[in-house]
Amino acid sequence: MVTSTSAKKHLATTLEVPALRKKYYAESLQQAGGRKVAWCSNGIPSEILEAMDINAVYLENYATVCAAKRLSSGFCRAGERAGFSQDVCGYARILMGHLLGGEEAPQAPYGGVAKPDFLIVNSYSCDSRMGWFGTMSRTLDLPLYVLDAPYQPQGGCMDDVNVAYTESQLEDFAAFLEEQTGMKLDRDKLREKLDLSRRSHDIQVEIFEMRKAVPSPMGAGDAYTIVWPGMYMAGTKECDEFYQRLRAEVSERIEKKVGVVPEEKFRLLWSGLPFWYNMALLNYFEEFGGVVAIENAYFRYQRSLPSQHDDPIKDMAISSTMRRPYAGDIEQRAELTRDIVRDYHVDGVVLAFNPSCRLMYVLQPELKNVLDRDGIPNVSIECDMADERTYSEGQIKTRLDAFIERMLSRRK
Amino acid sequence: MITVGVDIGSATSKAVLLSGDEVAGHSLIATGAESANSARRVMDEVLQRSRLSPNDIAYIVATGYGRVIVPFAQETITELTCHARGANWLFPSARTILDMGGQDCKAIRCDEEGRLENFAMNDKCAAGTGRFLELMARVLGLSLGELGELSLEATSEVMINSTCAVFAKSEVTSLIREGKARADVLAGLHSAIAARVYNLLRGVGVEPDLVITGGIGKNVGVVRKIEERVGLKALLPEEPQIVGALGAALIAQERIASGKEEAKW
Amino acid sequence: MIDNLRRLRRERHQEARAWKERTGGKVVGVFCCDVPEELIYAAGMLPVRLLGAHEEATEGNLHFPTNVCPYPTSCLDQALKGRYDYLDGVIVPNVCDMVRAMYGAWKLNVGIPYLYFLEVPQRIGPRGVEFFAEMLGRFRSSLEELSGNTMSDASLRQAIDVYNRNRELLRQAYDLRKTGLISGVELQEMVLSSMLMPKEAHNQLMSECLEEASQRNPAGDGVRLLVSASMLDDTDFFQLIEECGGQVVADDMPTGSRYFFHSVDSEAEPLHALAQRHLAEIPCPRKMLPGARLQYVDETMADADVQGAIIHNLKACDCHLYEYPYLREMLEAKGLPVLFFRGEETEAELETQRDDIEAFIEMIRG
Repeated sequence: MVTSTSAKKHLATTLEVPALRKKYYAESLQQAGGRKVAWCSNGIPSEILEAMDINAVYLENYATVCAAKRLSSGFCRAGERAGFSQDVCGYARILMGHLLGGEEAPQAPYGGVAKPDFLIVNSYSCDSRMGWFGTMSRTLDLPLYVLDAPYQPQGGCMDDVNVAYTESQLEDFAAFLEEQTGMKLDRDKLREKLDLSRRSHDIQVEIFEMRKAVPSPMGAGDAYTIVWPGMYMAGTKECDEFYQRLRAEVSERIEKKVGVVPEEKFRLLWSGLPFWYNMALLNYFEEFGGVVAIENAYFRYQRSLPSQHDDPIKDMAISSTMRRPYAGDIEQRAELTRDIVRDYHVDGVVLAFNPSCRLMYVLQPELKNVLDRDGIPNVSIECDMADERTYSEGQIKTRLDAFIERMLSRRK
Repeated sequence: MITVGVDIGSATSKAVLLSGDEVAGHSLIATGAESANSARRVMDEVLQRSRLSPNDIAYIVATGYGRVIVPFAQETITELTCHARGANWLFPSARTILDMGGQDCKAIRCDEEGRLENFAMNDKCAAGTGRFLELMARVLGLSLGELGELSLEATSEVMINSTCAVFAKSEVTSLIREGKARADVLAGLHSAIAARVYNLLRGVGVEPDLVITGGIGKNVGVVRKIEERVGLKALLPEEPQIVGALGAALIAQERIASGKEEAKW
Repeated sequence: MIDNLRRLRRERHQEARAWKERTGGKVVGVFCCDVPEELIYAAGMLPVRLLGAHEEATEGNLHFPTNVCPYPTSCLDQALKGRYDYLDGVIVPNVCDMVRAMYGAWKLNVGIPYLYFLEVPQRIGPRGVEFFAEMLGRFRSSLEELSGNTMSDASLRQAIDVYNRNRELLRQAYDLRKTGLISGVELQEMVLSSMLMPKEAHNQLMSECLEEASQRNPAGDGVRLLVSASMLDDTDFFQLIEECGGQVVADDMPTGSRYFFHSVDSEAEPLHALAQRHLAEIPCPRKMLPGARLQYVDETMADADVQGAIIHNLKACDCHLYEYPYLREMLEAKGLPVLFFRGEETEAELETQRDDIEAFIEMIRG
């Protein structure tokens, strides 16, 4: 029913990621005995885990791997049989299916993931994961650390009280990790890692800015893959070097005017998560001269703040408080979307409605209202990002085809 | 210049033959199990009706759910674009089109030239579709064609709570058993449908003029209720089911005009 | 006994408007138990709980998907339809993704002079409570500005006392419900009306009700049930249970025991005490992990001789859905049959629920 799991990669550097990822998971499994294993949600700062030599498994990413390998149906079913409603996050159902499914669950990719010694979740993105990790903590009878930061949709983010709270959270987090590992956090090491990750973050911001170029040097098909090292290996030399190579390749493509498509007829913004079991949709527009020039899910546009303190935890407190709430409140999102449409010369927006990603899902209708009011052409497609049983090819294609027809016939 | 538009829906297949500025023929058949087959059959029929042969056709555009399996079409275009085009050709003042088909329901916005501007589809459930009304007709022991006129005889409309076909069926059955008049129940059903499609319309915003296409456009009861909700008189094509095929034939003409290759059989 | 309370609930919009006219005071809408109403009360304003309406959210559905928790959509819907025009302000706490989205949509689409987002942390330990106390301090200043009144510590303590009294009275009613001196619907009317009217007046009415109830004979031969719900906005569901031969004797829900089970520590520094109670003690799954939560649900059933449990979660409520398998497990381990509903807040669903509840009760009667 789905077209193809992987997106076509237009850049050579992108092709390095699968091997990196496979190696990461393999090493994680191999070293499970020696290093303490932490099951993490996205956004847990990997620098501090690296500094303490903790074997981190980011569950949401593993869920996308399961989805990409076309195993989501089996895992979701197993998770649902274990009592988790179809309403809850597809990633959670996949992992709970993996955990509790026993023989009924599909074979786990990469041979499975290392068994955890403790769990870490943060409140930085969505609420759903708190419940998910809470139940895992109970099922596995393992300690869970909840890393919190203020939400504050409008202003107030950077004031002392908010930063102090985040700092206290991070200090307690460090103490928790020290207790779990029996190791002391080496703050010099952490500072080094933060310096590295700041740099690679800024390189990623640069690459995002370079993508404003016409023709588009790198589309969403590559972007959703190359985001991986920054999310899961931040603070490592490998990650840093990867982005330097990527930047060089993007730079070259811009110089030579090598675009994703030879003749760009329309440029799109993909809002929401992609469908991890059918990434080829991101390339679908290319045969018609269209390119998904930019996506907003993991959009990095704020440069790192330079280090302001000797104590790296204090620096982390500021950057963690400063991060926009993952999707922001609607006004922030609308503003950001307008900026993206303008700066990236976007002709239309694809609004992905992923039902089980509650965070994104509940914000999309209002974003659509804003786009409609602003007269920015958009199309809505509904389909879960992880659970492939929700994918209906005919329905999705009809909407996308109509949108493409609209793009091609629009007044220039 | 003669072109053909073929619309392969899940329930019915339609073809329109356009000769210059006139509809020289049209056909409508039940799709049946074999969509590829029905494309050929509906094409043959429209050729027969207009007494033309395949060689006379300059360009063919296929649309609808089964558009990709029309082997003899030069091009496929979605029914959304085609409906916008077709409705606007019939009624140049048309800016909002509500297509209530056999299996799905679409709200479409177009500009003054019939170009697709926005759309919202309900293809996830039966509400507002021919399927829903077919089911209700069976429960009430009526034919589809009788529903509209009968509902206008309602003296007091019965509130139907469920818009889900599954629940509505049992609700309607109980109401009839209680002795409620069929006309009154029908009026309630039509209101419920109107409420659902109104939500869909609001998703794209309603700008006059409103055109209602699709089989349900022939149901005067539903049309009235929708008009009441929206606060507009709807424009109704004489043949509401062929608007998609008509739009496809029009686009076919545009292709020829802009220098596309002619059809080869 | 509760006719007056029921009327006050049903006519809540008129009542609020009348109160405004009578007193010249301001009315502030509150979303969710996390908001310490005492602060609003101490500023001389009337806090009223925003409740969903069992009707199609035709306006709200233009801003939200339809297959998510209908409660915030319904509140927004009513605001867009002008039902809440009399509100001088609305307080939205940091509850969940859906409520945060509602805050944004409210801001963009409903003209209201004062819309306050109350930061509620996810940590319920000492750090979280400290931070929340700071946030309440800011909230307090903001309320002072809105009301034009200064809020002394004394007035805040007084407010806490009034609210604690109300909680105490409701707890007494909760106990009386175990013996059937008060029915499930009656207690529900008491809780809901408490959320909608001046607390002192409600205390008075509660005292009268309890007096009356204590004169009754213990009643109720219904099947004794625990109801655990994510949100019930009115008494329809309890009414349905009673019609089917059930008797609610224990509950775990925001418009039930969660609202009054714990009091605010009147000895401690007021803001800190409010933070402690509202953040760390209200046993809501949004904040509390399964361990503490299940313990709480257990407590609600103490001495209630429960025979079965009905769990009613509004669809797509993540907080409750993740916990559900464990809650079910705990209840079944106690030998209690469990009936689960995925709520949609529509009129139509009550009828389908009736069949299920009837069958469930028959099964328990055996």
